Amino acid sequence: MDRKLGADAGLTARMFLALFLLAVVYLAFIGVLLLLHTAVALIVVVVAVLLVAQYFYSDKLVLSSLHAHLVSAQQQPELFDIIGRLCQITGMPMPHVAVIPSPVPNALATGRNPKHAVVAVTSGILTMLDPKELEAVLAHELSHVIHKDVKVMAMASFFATVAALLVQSGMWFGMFGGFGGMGGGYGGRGRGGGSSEGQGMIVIILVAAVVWAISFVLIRALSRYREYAADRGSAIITRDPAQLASALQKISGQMTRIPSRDLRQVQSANALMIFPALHIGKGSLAEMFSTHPSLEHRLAKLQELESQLSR
Amino acid sequence: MGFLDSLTGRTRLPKPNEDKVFAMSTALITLEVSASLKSSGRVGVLFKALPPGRFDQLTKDTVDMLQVQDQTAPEDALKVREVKDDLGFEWLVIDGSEFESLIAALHGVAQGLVEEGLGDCLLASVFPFTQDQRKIYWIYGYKQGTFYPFVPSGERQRDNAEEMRLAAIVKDDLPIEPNLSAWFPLWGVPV
Repeated sequence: MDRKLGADAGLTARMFLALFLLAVVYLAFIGVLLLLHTAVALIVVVVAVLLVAQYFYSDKLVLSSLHAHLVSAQQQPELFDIIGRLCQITGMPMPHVAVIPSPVPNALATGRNPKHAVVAVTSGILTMLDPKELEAVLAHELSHVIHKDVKVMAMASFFATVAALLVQSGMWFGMFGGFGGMGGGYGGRGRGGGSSEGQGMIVIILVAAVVWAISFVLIRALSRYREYAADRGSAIITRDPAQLASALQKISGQMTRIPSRDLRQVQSANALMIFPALHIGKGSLAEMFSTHPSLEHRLAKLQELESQLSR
Repeated sequence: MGFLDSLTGRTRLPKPNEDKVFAMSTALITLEVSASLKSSGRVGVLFKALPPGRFDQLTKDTVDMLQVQDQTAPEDALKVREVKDDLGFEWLVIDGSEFESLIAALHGVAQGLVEEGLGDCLLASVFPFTQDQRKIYWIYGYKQGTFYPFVPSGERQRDNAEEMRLAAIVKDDLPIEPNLSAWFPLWGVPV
């Protein structure tokens, strides 16, 4: 008899499907770029450098944008105790711990690998949740670290960023009389290389726009699947999914009452948060474009896990 | 954590290792002689969220298991009690004068849980010692299968120097946790 939660086959399949579709879209994109061999390589290099920098400094970037400050075990003994025991359970090294001075209850984890992980909580969540609920939330965040979400999402969104940059720079380029000899052909000044290059640029921008749109939806889907996976991870670690459910309900209830200034403050890191600052309805179109599943969907999943555990 | 696991976001907890705990019985002599530690005649097992009702049954099971041993040497009878700490974690505390039988009992409890498929609930075992009036703990992490010392020296303060010294003394007898950041303190241990 093995009384533990294994992998969720459906979730794994959907995660693979999202990654597979992304790979297809990206390969097609690369194919088009290679076919038209323009100076796009430069943009790819620029994005690569940007993403690598973001990848290595993601923890510091996010933390400084949220005014989070690292705390010591002496400053937050209870928080360290809880995280310490969770690390013992999961066999992972102790992450850095940060507190965000904000009344909005939320938590996030960042850092490119378990060794460089930072778990941050707002002062609001510390006062709102009881220790067991806080433990469930922290287990969710540590699951993100264990699953290397920063790494996976950075890889998954690489070419989407290339496409987005191409579209944006292309628009800028076109607006200021770019596109090579676009009008040249009609003016009878000869159909030189400039014309075909201009048309090639338009094709690339159109393709990039399509890639951007499709990959955006896919990346958001992937992000939601990873939230489910982290919820599941929390249940596996704590063996008590009801605590996470209770915490999510408390957090979401508070979310609708918070002042808008703080909402905007936390929005830049929305995707990293345990709960998004914007409300998402179940099954709404908004959910499809959201980084997080709706509260209703998450609670339903947690209930499923609860019944699996107590069987 | 494999590549595929992180790609599909799967949490896999490390498998517990309940057997290396026996290393403590050989290290005991070194600890007594070279570090002047004295065993407190007690061990504690720290659990994480046993299924409802299972914790209450644990004491009974352990007592049943120990009774078989008691018949051979009743004067060394072990006492078992259960404690719930401030963080909501469950402890099984076993008292007894004979160190060997303490470890055997400890191993029996852990093995029973692993056989039941509840190995994930095993977190750590704690061996309390005294050294000139002060308490010193050796902690065995089931997930890592390693030991580390924990020397509290005040309100949430620990004596890192003494911990390093102790680890160096028994490094040949005990599998010491190589990663210092995994030397998690256990404040307010009930043993």
